[in-house]
Amino acid sequence: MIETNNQTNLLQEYVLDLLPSGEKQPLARQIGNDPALLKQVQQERQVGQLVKRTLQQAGTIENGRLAQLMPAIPKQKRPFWNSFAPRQLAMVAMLFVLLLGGWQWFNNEQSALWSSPTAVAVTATMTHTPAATETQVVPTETAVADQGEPIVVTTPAPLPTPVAAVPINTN
Amino acid sequence: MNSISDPTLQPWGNERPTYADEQSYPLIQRCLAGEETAYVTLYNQYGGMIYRLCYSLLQNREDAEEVLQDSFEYAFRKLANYDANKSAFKTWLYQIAVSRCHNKRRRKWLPTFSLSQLTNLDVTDTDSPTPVETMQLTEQQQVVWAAIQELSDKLRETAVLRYYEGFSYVEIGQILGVPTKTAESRMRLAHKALRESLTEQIEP
Repeated sequence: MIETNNQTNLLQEYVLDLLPSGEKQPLARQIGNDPALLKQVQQERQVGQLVKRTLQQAGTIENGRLAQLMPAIPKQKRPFWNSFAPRQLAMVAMLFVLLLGGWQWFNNEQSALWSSPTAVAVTATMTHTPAATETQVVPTETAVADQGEPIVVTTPAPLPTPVAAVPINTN
Repeated sequence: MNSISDPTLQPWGNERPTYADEQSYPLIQRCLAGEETAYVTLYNQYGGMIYRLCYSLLQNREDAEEVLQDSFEYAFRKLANYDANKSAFKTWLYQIAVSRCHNKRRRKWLPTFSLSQLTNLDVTDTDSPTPVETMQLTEQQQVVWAAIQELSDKLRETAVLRYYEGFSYVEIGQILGVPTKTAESRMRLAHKALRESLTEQIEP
């Protein structure tokens, strides 16, 4: 009995493809040589075949119904600028250019109206300490070489010129 | 003449993602490029399979239709998130559908009755297939269907994914969010239970 159960289990494992290849190949040879074992294997295989046939029959769906059940095809995610039509896009671009031009013009106008005078740097210099210049005049004598009769002309030494200190106003 | 083996001609370029298959991967790329017909092709390719899975797990046409729609709506929206290096597209899609089936079942756990049902005391089991549905099945298939329904939710989804869709245990683990070993043991239990229920249906 135990032996029969073990054999059945082994054959079920074989049918379900649960045996390691090391055990599977010798068993396959054994089954090939033993008609009783082969019959048992075929009976085990029938379980799967019955289930498959039944599921195939029970789960049939008409093509028309299948088509009806198809969900909506997802919309491709496009960049947001692609969602606008070219005409809309052109209009937006034109508006943008107009706005930019308008802004530029407005800025120019504003600057002309509110233009500030040119800043000129005025530098004034003033000397607080009056400067006086004193010139010392040294009398000079001119000697003329004797070329015949000596003419001696004596020129009186000029008087020293007084120099007054003048304040300089730079303004 | 261009050779198909030329890597520059493949939709994945020089480095092919681990799970990129030649059928669905180019289709996904076309969908992501915004081609509407690619979405329709993708839906036609997998819609029937997903519906069958949902119906097998929920055993209710309306619920299955709702989950199918919801799953594809989500898949379409999140298509860019699909990573062909992590799983096959089919696995990813089944993962979404199974998760939605779980949610649906959870929401249906609390029974809801309409006022007319309360006044007429006509509380019918909405999970059982309608007479029209059962009529489409042969007598034997009805027995098998009943055996599948008797399985627990966890065993049923494992059995459906393995028997009907032929997923590997690794893939079943990915779809259900469980380790591969858990998927294997659930399959063992599901097979044993079905084998026992279907003894009379199996040819000697």
